[in-house]
Amino acid sequence: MRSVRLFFLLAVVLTMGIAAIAQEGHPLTGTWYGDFGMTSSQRNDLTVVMQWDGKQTTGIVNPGPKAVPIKLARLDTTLGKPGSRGTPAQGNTPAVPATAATPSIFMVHFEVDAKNKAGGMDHFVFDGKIQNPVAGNRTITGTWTCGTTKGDFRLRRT
Amino acid sequence: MRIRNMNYVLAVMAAIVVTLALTMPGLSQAPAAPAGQQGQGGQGGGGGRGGGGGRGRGANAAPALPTPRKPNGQPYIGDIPGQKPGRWNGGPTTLAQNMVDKVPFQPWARAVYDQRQIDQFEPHTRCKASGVSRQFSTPYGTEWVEIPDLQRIYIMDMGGPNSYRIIYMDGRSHPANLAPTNYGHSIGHWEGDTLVIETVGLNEKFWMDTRGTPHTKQLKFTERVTRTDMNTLQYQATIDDPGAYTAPWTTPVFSMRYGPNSDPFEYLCQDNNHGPELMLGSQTEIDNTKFFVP
Repeated sequence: MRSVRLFFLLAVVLTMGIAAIAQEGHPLTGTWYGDFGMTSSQRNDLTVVMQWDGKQTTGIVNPGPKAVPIKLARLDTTLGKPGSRGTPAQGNTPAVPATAATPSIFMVHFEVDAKNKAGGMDHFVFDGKIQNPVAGNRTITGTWTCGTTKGDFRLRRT
Repeated sequence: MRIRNMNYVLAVMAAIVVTLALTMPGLSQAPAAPAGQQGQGGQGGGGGRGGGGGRGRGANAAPALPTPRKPNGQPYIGDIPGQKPGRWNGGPTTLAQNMVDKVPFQPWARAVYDQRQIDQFEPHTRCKASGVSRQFSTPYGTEWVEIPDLQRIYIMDMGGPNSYRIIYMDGRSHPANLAPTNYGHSIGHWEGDTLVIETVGLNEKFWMDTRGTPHTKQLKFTERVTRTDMNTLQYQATIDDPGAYTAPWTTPVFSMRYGPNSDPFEYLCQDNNHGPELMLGSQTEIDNTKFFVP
């Protein structure tokens, strides 16, 4: 019975996820939810809200009473290239082979200064890559550093 | 001998008749259809370009009737009182047609545009309402309904989400603090024979054209629409979006074709897509490895 309930709970959660409204504008704009940590088993929730004003990306990390403003955020892009289907040989005209599309690359960099338990400030630097950049539920995966500490993070647009 | 000569004469006469028939169109074609009767029904009025921007007119088209006008001299932009409804077909599918490299994209916007040439399935294919120029690149065209008493023009989608855009013609301004929507807030006015429509308050949930020309919520979209004759609507847009472009830019002039006597019909766009994983990739090759949230 518990597994049935769990199944329905998961189904509802997944359905809500699928119903999420896609944003088609700047790739960073929106709310990103995920986690970060030093190992795969030691994870911390991470929520990032970003918006693009036409010149710069601003935002906050972990909205709420302990929200931290993003100090610096940047999207670096490398242009891709559409593929072609190619054409078969016709008479004296040789075949033109199909070419694979080269996707555009979207790299993300953001920095946050967050208060640590001792009352001091920690400087976090996140670097990642957007997967499926024109999809509504795009993701960012990458690495973070804080002094000599480092790990990985993953975020999904909600 | 006489019979042989007669056969010769008949052969020569037949050759002359055939030659004249082939070289003089007036002898070889049926009488031209009355102007305004071309492309009746469905998508027939698409200008023979399959929705590819509708430039030009078919070689066999009869001369169109002049621009229909209201008693005050303004053109009827859409339906004409006393006549059956019609639809405008063949809207612009590529706003940056033949000028992509001249568009002042911001770097991110160019990268998104290029990526959308690879992942081609847009919100419209998932039955989402698509504003500004994308509204016209729908199957079966759009019906334009002017209501002078209300000082409004309604642009009705046909093959799409069955929605409509309102253009306010009463001189009002855009409200402050608009909540962004798919169709935004449109106000219009006449400059001579040209209807000028300015739209703001647009969200980022749709594409402006089928090629994925990007925009942001900062978009101000200005359309200039002129009915140059009974069957032709010339359309040009200016995109002013500091969120996605470094400067405003103006599209080429596109032509839409009128399909008269085209009663609107019920069109269901099936939302609640059960195969969202099939909705990313190109239109000739779907990438099933990517999961897409509609």
